[in-house]
Amino acid sequence: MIRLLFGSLFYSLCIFCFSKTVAGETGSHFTKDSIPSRIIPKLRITVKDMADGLPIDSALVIAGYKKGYTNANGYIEFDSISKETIITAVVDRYFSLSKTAKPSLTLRLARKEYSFANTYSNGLYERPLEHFSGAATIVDGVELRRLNPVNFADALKICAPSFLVTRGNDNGDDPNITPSTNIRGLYNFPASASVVLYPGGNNTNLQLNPSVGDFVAGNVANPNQPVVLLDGVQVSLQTVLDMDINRISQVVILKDAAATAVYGVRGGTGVLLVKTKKPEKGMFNVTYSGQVQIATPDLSSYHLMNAADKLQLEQTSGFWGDNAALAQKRQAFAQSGRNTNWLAIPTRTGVGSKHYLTVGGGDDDLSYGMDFSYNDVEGVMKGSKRQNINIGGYVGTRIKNFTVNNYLRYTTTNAFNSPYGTLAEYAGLNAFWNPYDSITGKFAKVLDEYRYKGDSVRIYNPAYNGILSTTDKGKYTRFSDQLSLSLNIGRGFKADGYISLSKQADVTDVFLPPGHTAFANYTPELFFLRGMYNQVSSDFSSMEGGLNLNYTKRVNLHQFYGSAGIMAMQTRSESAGISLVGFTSDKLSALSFGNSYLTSKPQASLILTRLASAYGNFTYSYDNRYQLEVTGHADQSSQFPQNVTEPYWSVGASWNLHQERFFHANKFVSILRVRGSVGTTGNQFYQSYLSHSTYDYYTDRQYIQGSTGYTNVGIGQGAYLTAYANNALKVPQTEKQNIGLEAMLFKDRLSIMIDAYKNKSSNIILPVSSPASTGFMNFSYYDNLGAIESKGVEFALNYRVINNIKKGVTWSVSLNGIHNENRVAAISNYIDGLNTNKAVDNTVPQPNYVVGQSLTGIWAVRSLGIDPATGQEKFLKADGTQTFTWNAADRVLAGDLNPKWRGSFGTSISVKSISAGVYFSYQLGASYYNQTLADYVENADISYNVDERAANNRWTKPGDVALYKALSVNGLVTSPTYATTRFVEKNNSIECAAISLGYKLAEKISSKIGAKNTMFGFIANNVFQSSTMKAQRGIYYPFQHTYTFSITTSF
Amino acid sequence: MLSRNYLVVFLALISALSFSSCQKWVNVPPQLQVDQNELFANEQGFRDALNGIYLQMGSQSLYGRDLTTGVLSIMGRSYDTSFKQADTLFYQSAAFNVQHYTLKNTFQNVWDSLYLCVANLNNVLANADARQNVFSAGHYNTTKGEALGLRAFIHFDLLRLFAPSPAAAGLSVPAIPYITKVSPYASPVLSTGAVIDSCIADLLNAQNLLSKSDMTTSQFTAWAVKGLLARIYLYKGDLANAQSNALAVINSNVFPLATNNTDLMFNKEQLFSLYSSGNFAFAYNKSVFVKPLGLSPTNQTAVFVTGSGSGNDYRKLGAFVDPTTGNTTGNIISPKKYYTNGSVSVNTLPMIRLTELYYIAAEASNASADSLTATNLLDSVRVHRNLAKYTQTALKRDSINIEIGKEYQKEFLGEGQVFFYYKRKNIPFASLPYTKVPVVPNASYVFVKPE
Repeated sequence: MIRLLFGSLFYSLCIFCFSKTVAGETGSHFTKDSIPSRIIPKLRITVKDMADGLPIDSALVIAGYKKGYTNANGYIEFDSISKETIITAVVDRYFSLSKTAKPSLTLRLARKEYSFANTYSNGLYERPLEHFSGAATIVDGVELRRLNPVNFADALKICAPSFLVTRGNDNGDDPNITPSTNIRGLYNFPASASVVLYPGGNNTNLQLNPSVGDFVAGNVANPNQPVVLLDGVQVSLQTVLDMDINRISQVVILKDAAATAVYGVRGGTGVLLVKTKKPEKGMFNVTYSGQVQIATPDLSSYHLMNAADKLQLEQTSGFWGDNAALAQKRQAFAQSGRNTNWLAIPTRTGVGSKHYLTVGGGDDDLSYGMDFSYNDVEGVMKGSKRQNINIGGYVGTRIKNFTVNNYLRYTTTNAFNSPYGTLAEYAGLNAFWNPYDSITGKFAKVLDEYRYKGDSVRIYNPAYNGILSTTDKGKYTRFSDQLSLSLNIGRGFKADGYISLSKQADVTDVFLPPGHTAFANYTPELFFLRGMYNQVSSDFSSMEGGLNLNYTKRVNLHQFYGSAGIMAMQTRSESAGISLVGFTSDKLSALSFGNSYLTSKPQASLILTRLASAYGNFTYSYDNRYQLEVTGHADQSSQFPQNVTEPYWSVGASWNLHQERFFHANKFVSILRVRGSVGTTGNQFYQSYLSHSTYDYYTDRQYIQGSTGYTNVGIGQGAYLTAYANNALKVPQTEKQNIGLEAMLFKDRLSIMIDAYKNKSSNIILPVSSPASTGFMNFSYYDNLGAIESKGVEFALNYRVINNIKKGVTWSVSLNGIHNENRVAAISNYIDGLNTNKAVDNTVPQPNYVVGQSLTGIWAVRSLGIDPATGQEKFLKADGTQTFTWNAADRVLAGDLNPKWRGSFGTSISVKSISAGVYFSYQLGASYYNQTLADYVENADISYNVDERAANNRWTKPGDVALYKALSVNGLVTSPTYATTRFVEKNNSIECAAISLGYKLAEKISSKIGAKNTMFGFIANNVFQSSTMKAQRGIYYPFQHTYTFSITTSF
Repeated sequence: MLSRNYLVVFLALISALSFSSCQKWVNVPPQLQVDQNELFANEQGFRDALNGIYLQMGSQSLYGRDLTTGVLSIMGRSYDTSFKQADTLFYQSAAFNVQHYTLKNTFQNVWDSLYLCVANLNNVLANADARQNVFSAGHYNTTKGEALGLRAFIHFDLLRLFAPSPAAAGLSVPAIPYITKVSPYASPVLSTGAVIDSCIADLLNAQNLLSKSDMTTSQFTAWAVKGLLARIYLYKGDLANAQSNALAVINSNVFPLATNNTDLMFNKEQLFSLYSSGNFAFAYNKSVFVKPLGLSPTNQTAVFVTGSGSGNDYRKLGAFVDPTTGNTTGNIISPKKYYTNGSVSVNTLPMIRLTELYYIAAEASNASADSLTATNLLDSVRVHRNLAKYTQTALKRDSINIEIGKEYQKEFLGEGQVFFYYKRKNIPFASLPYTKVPVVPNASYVFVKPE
């Protein structure tokens, strides 16, 4: 790293010196030259592009009071120009250039940054889209904001079906949970199958309690997510989610080998490039955007029993039985007629707001800008929220052909989780219970108290915790700075480099006060252990730097591009957590009020990683018709065995049919391209230090005779092996193949994109189960044992039904989708062990990784329904015989959570200053396991609330043809229902992802208040969801509907 | 011109950051552990790693308790106190109920921990070979010899615990794996004979590497190698080799037999002893003796006095204390050798005693019908235990065997070796002393292998 820093410094110094020399030369020339005549009779000027040296047509050349345009050769001549006249060339998209007149003058103009429209930029180099052979989706920031005003990932998934955002059914729309994402399917086994923590073992290869900015730990925990690069610098997805969406100028999803091989070991799972806006140049300008977000909980999937039905069910089930006291108590409830809607108690309508302000200005030589953002996302559980504050400062300057810019950003985020606990705690509460204390009117602590089968039962009110000082919060502050340099060398060469530093500090605090219901059953001798405070501090810093050199050259019909670069990165992640117990008062909620530590020492960990890479790309295009590109990449990393360099490559080719002569006359086809690529990439989503054998020292004993004494200090220290290196460990590799077609038909009205791909990930790192005689019980050993294959097809269609630009009326419809299949190709003996592990909760279908089968399959035993004679469930065994006994070995692949097709469709209309759009997400051919039927019907504990369906369709007597087993007081105890095909159901769904309305204020009115570009907007997200799935959604945290009102203006 | 200069600078930069210089930079050791390259960068690291293995061996689940004063001494009948049924492990041990889950768990732990020691040893050996240059003169040999010897020691105990004795099942039955390199993948299970041969091979290698002048008996020395060879040859039934190795140590006279009872542990007679950590020895020993567990005065007399014994035996006279007070008054049942200043805090654990070699030599001599030598050997120990010589110069061959058995009981009280004696001799369970807890019908000398 230090070498790199010095290198870059040296580099910048050199450039500085050179610029000086150049300036000096020009100056001296100016004074030395003193021909008596002050008039140049014939001034010959050629204007050329600095990058490729090609002449620039129609460039405006100003020579004193004369002016004119260059011809196709970039040439213009003027007669009789005075010697000291300043000659200036001005062309659109180029920086203007002025020089003092001399008889023969060549002006080399530097091009301004590419406009996004027809250029593909992978963060390292740029190519015209027409010359790029890979598969990438480019989405403009404006488009994203039109679909979701807060969360770019949710917007992106509507535009790009290959980008999957999964919010688990458990955590719903919790604003403090990062959704899991992946691009084009799966490349790794989930962490639950690929990371093993041996009990008592010392795992120091994995960061405990990582910072939310720690992408190294995040990728191990979530090994299918793409690498996220923010302006070329690797960050965690949460870092981008906590940034204001208004700052995004463009998002690029890199998918196939031709697109990702340039990132080598970071490209395996796909790359998500997020590019931010630069301040607008020109007069000092101010933009403001404000919005109010209203979130309401979506509890429509909950069908819990009301008080009367529940009491009836209790009676039918015989729960009260001969328990007269309990029966009497329940009768009293029946008479009270109370029917509490428990789900309403912890939930709310969250009203949040967002403000975004930028100021900026300047010109090509010096530009500056600042942005401020405050975003308060209020969740639908009481007290659940996420508040982000972002402040950024930008300064950019250009000295001749050298540009430097720097962006410094400060972020602080406060995340609060609801003190009310989880929604699931409320779903199980009976509607006849009274949440409030009848005397004080506040939340009661105890809801019900009775004796049952000799035990004293007390039901506590989770809402009671909400009014105490219960705390569950996280906070982080982050500083990041990125310095970018770019040098237009000329003759087709261009160089750029960057250095980035970021440092983030997180603190999470969880405090359960002594009055919390978690301690309600503590006996008096444990009285001083009540209350718990858990605090974790983590730090994450990353440093990154890179240099790129680009070359372009055109010779007649041959266009060449060459790019090469190097990059180095270091991350350091550290955390320490402590837990205290023994708090006496709910009011004393600080760490220092604890009585003692819960554990004798803090849980600490520290991970340092380094990566160094080099890449090269060569692209050739013949006559804009045939393209060929080759990419090579090499990596070295602290995760690899020592002295190992991992190479990657890709080859891509494309054919622009529309450039062929036989297509030229065609009016229907404006673009028609076919392209394909093959290549390899890798991923580092496994633990650090697996290639190191390590020792730890005994800290509590020494090998000496007798007891420890002064004379024995430092004698007999003992070390023991804690990890054994796999020095032959290879980096997991993904081979990618892609073919695609792009077309623009009917006068650019219909655009079509179709891609088919195949990925094969091999050498996936999995734990090895070792027999104890190897001695490997206390440390984990990993080897390259897994393989996963995925294949799929994706498409996107967009049709402009009306495209009347003159009248300002447009109407377009779009449809996109992806079909993706993942199959296990190889597993390790450890995964075999997981598949057959008996100590698991089989009321939930457990994952089963079988070679040749899907990774996301639902494995359940084939059910023949409820036997009318006995009321027991009849199963089909693996060998085809019938049985009443559930056995995990009889499980079959009963469905797949992964849909056959998934995507979105929508339409947008714009009439003059009004625009509107509606977008839907759909999925077809997916299955799910109806956990509600398992947990809230058959396995339900009748002392708690259950699903409405628990009362009906149950087997009662021989001969009954029933859907569900007989009603019992506690189904899980009397006859538990384990993963059965009876509860595997189809999950076809459609969701109204976004409805948007926008109105742009006429400039006449805007300007009256000194403003311009004033717009009003309304966006509704997740308006409704319709599914064949009849189960509860959002178990611990509900899903939500969001309505956002916004105003944007600039001054 | 200008652009060419830039290019030269750029290319110079790229080559300055070339991959060879990156190699060093990207190689990051684990931050919260000691990388073995760092540990084994000097000789001290090897010592630390070996100390780590001794400390592991001295833990409660191994020689710190379960394989010495605890389970093995209960099964070796060092104690006759009544076992409370609530102390499940001790109760089931006394009943020889090896199939009971408490014994299964205990011996799974023994299996895991001993093989973990083996893995640690194999890693020391692999690193010693790879880094011979870090050792000062001769120390490469001694380190390697010590590790090889210890590897044989541990494997031999694994064999004695988890495989039937040759007397019961011969040498060709499948026994245990003999692990000679660090690998996460399983090694084949060898027969008893093959394991013994592997142990002997390692020990003979160790013998060539170790120096006889090293008398650090808390480590595995050349003398421990000899002693262990004698023990293994005897177990195998190769009495000639057992005798020659035992006599080699006895005749070298480097380990003097005790002449008084000031040190009841007879530390100077030990060829190899382990230290359990001083910080924990108290707790380990307490968890056994303070139960209370020990030998009642009646049976002390039966063992030490009755027959050819005497109340003045160093191992009897004042050698028992009250487990709770550590005093020689009151309920004196616990061996005093584990007590200092009234508390069970002695952390020395005898692994190989000189006296065992006398008994081995005597047993071998007796087997070859040389009862005179055998009696002499036993007498040599007796005089150093404050006993008179046997009245006959040559005992009968049968009596010699009985006397040797009794000597094991007296000499190795609470040290675990008596269990192995019974197992080697395949003594029927009905003949074991003190069956206060009835021995279960499926009793066995072979513990359940966890894999």
